[in-house]
Amino acid sequence: MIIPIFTGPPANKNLTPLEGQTYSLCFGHAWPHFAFDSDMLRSYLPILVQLILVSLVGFAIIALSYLVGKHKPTPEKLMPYECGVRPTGGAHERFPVKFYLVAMLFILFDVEVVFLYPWAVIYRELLFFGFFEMLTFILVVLAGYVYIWKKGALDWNKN
Amino acid sequence: MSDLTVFLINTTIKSIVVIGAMLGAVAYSTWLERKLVAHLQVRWGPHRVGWHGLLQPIADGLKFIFKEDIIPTEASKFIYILAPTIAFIPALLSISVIPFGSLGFFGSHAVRFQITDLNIGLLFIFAVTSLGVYGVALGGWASNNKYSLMGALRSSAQMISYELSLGLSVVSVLLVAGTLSLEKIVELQSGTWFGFIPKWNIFVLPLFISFFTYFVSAIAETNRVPFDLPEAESELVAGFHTEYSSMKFALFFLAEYANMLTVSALATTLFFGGWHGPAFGPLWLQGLLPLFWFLAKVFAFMFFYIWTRGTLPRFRYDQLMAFGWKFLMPLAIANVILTSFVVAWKG
Repeated sequence: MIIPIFTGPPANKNLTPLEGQTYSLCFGHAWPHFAFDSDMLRSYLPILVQLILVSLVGFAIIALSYLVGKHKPTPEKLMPYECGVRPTGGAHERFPVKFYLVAMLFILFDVEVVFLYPWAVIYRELLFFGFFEMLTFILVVLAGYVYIWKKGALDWNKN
Repeated sequence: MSDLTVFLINTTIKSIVVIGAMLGAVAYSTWLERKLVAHLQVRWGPHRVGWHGLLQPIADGLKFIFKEDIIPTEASKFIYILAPTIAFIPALLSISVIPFGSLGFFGSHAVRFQITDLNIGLLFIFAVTSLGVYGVALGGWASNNKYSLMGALRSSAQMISYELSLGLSVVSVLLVAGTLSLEKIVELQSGTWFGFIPKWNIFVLPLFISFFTYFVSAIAETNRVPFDLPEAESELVAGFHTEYSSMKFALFFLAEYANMLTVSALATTLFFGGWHGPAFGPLWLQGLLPLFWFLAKVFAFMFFYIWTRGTLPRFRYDQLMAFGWKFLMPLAIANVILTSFVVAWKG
C-alpha cells in the first residue's frame, strides 16, 4: 500500500525518474511517493493514533465536567485563593533569578547528556577508543561543572 | 481490506485497550495508595464504598465530574483550561512504546503486547515525559495565584534538575544493551546465569548504581514523597493546582499517577527484565504469564512508591536541589565512566 505524502522538497520538473520510484504531479511539480509500509513510518503511525485518542479523552473529560457540573459562580468564589484573605497585588510579580539559573544550567548539561546517547548505542564497536574520546569530553564538561559549583550556582541559599 | 487498514484497526484497538487499562490502573493506584498509607498509619482507609472500598475510585471519579468547574476571574482562561490536558496527554502517550508482554496469538492472528516498537523508544519516552513540565508550569502561571506560581516554579525547577540524572542513569543501560529499542532491551535480558539468576540488567555489575540514580530521580521527577515540594501543603496550599477544581484537577492527578506507572514500567523494562519470568502450563497461560509478570513488577514499584510516602518526611527545597545537583549528578556521571570502562574491558 502506497500513500503519497506531499512534504518533500519540490522536485525538479525535468528530473530523471528513479527506477521503481513513483511520482505524482501536484502544483506543477513531480513529487516522489514514499512507501508507507516502510518500517520506519509504520512504527510511528501508532504514536499518531495514540496521540489523537489520548487528546480526545483529555478534552472529552474536560468538556464532560463542564457540561455536567453545576455553575453557581460568586465573586468571592472566583477570587484567587489566599486562605480566605483578600489577595493583595497580582501574582505575576518578580520571582527569584535562581529559577532562571537552574533552567540555563539544565539546558547546558542536558545537551551533554543527549550527546552521550548515540555514543552509548554504538559503544560496542568503539570500546577503548570510544572510552577515551568520551572521557575527554566528560572531563571538559566536568570542568564547567566544578566551575559553577565553586561559583556557588548550585547553592540554593547563596545570593 | 488493505494491509494498512488492518494495521490501523489493530493499532486503534490496542491504543484503546492500553488507554483504558492505564486509566483503570491509575484509578486503582489511588485506591491502593489510600489503603496502604492508611494501614501504615493504623487506620482503615476507604472501606465504605464496596468491599474494602474497592468501588471508591469510581465514586471519586463520578464526584469529580459533578463538581463545580471554577475558572477564577483573574486566570488566563485559555491556558488555564489547556494546561491540565498538556499534563495529561504526554503522561498517557509515553506508555505506547513500552512492551507489556511477549508475542500473543488471537486465533491465528499474531499480536504484539506493545503499541509500537520505535527504534528510538527510550529517547521517545524521555522526550514525551519531559513535556509534562509545560502542563505544570503553564497551569501554575495561568491560575494567577501566588501559591500556584511558586508551586509551578519549584516544580519545574525540580523536574528539570532531576531530569539530568535521570537521563544520565540510563546511559549505562544503553552501554550494556547497545540499542534504544525497548523491545530489544527486554529481549537481551532473557535467560539465566547458572540456571537460577535471571539475566536482568539489575544483576549486571555496575548497573545497580544506575538503577539507584534512576529510581531516585524518577521519584523526584514525578513529584512524589520525599520530593513532593511542589505540593508542600504547609507552605503552598496545593502548589500549582491550587486553583483547579473538578475534572481539571483530576486530570493533573491522573497525569501524576500515569507518570508514576510509566516510570515504574520503564524501570521494569530497563532493569528488571521487562515481561520475563517463569512461563509454564498450557499454551494460553504461557501467552498471558509475561503480562502478569510485567504487571507484578510494575505494582511492586508502585508499592515501593507508596511505602516511601508512608515512611519518609519531606526534603527542604535547598536540600532537594543540593541532592540533585551535588550528589546524584556526579554519581550518575561517575557511573557512566565506570560502566563504559567495564564494558570496554570485557570487550
